[in-house]
Amino acid sequence: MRLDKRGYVPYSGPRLSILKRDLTYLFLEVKNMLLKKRSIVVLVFILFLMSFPVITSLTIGEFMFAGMKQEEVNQAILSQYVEFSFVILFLGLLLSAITVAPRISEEVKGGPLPLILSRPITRDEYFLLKFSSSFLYMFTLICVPPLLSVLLFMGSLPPSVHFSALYVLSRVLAIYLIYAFFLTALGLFSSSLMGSPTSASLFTFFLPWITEFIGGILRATLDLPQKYTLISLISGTLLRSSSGFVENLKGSSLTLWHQALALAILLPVLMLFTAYTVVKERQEV
Amino acid sequence: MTMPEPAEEADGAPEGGPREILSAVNLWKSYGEVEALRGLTFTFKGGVMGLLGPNGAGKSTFIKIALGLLKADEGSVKILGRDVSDFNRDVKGQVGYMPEGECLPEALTGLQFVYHMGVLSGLPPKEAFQRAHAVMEFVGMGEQRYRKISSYSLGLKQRIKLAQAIVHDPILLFLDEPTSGLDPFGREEMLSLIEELKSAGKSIVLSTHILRDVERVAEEVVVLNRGVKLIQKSMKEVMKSGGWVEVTVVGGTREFVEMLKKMGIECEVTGSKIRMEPPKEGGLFRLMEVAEEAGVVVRSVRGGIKDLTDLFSELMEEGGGTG
Repeated sequence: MRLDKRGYVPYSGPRLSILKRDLTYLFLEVKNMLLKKRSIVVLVFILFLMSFPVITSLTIGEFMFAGMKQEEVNQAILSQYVEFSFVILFLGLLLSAITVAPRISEEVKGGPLPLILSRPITRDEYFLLKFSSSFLYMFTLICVPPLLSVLLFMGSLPPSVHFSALYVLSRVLAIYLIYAFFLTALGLFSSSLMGSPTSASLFTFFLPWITEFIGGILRATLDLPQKYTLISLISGTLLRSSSGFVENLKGSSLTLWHQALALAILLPVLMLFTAYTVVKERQEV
Repeated sequence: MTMPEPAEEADGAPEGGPREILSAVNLWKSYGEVEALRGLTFTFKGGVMGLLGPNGAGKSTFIKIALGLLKADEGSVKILGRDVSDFNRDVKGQVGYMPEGECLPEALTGLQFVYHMGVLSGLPPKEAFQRAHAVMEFVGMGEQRYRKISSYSLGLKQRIKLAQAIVHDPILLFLDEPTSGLDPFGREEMLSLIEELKSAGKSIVLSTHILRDVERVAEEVVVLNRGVKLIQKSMKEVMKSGGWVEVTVVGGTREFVEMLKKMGIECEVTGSKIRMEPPKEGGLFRLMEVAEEAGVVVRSVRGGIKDLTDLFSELMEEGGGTG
């Protein structure tokens, strides 16, 4: 009956080791993420690039801080950090909502998850691959603009301060590393809990703003100081993670700095653990 | 550690005699109050096995447990002698799965998807690419393989599901309702592909509620209802056990029927037509002798074999199970 009849040919070629298989699949996943929402990703990336002036301000600020004492910090630059954090927060959340949030939910309901898990792959490996590919993707997209910015800026500096510039660059990258970690964790957290990709995207984008709003009300009701308090960190500023972290990094005491850092890492870890547990225990794939 | 070779023998495979490809022992599974499987037990030694049952019989639940997608409440499933509740890479690498429902990533092309599944199964990228092309040729997908899955018809989606299931050349295939929703032409093609896979030595579990599909390709049948095994028989046994004869007689119908009943043959009388199972000894010749003894004139005789539809209806009416 078939027009182009060709018999079944068995496969007798080589097989990959588990590590090589996982790395190859990781590469494919990242490539898929970039290709799948290509136009939206490009748009968000351009928006990131448009934030260059703000990023440059940040970089200048970092250079200044590198050689200045705490009391000499220019309050005007500090306020620029806050503006900057909101721009980056908005774009970062948008990126996470569009690209990371649908990643698990779209594979669960009517998606290929049953097919994937019927292969020689554990649920742990599946989750690890999802996390690694999402994190790599987010980190790359978030870090390229500031990296370019700093490197361009370095060109105009005398060689004597290049070391300081590298120090600043490492700080900026560390902050963005945490930010990418947070965005990935938030996206996968929503994705594992929500049945539909659209719900997961909306949840990812709006959750930090809602908690920020609730945090604002709580602060006002309890008559707490606006900034640099633990409740501020927990309610909203923390959910902004690294952007809040940048903000708090500059003006707060050492104790609060540590609290901010610890919470900015702990919260994403908790979100990832929840997502992992949901994926691991989900019966009906 | 490398990914498993399809031809590798699993360690747990019994030595000598036909190897058990798949076995279920006292398998129980419930979703809340609903019991999907109730002590299901059977073995499968290879070839093509039809897993028959109405919707809700527990077919898909069994397959999901066998694939490790669901956990059984009690009992065990073994594939190639190994329990599937313990994740086993060797076993998983030798199993292919074609699910019933929607399961395809619509943003990818057919070729990309099959290639990805090949890589996930442990094939090196270059080989996975070649293999994806080869299996897509096999399932009869030409240029369509370069189109996005979202643009595929139901027939093409079924083919791509089959292609991904065989891309890593597994030993055992679970095909869940492979002809469901296909037009007659598509169904015929799908059954031809299954027959070719059978010829290539693949063991296939064909889960379906379409009896004709099982009759066409299966060598063995397991009938499930409400999570219980009703029968497990070879197709030869099924065909042998259920012949029927219908005779049209003139005069002495009552005596004829009485004599047949004495011989242990149940009859169904509709006017002058008597339908029955043929006598186990002597067959039609014996029947003619009895007719002569009863003094009836046989006007016509017609008969046939009981097909799976009859068998299935009977079993469903009985509604019992052997578990």
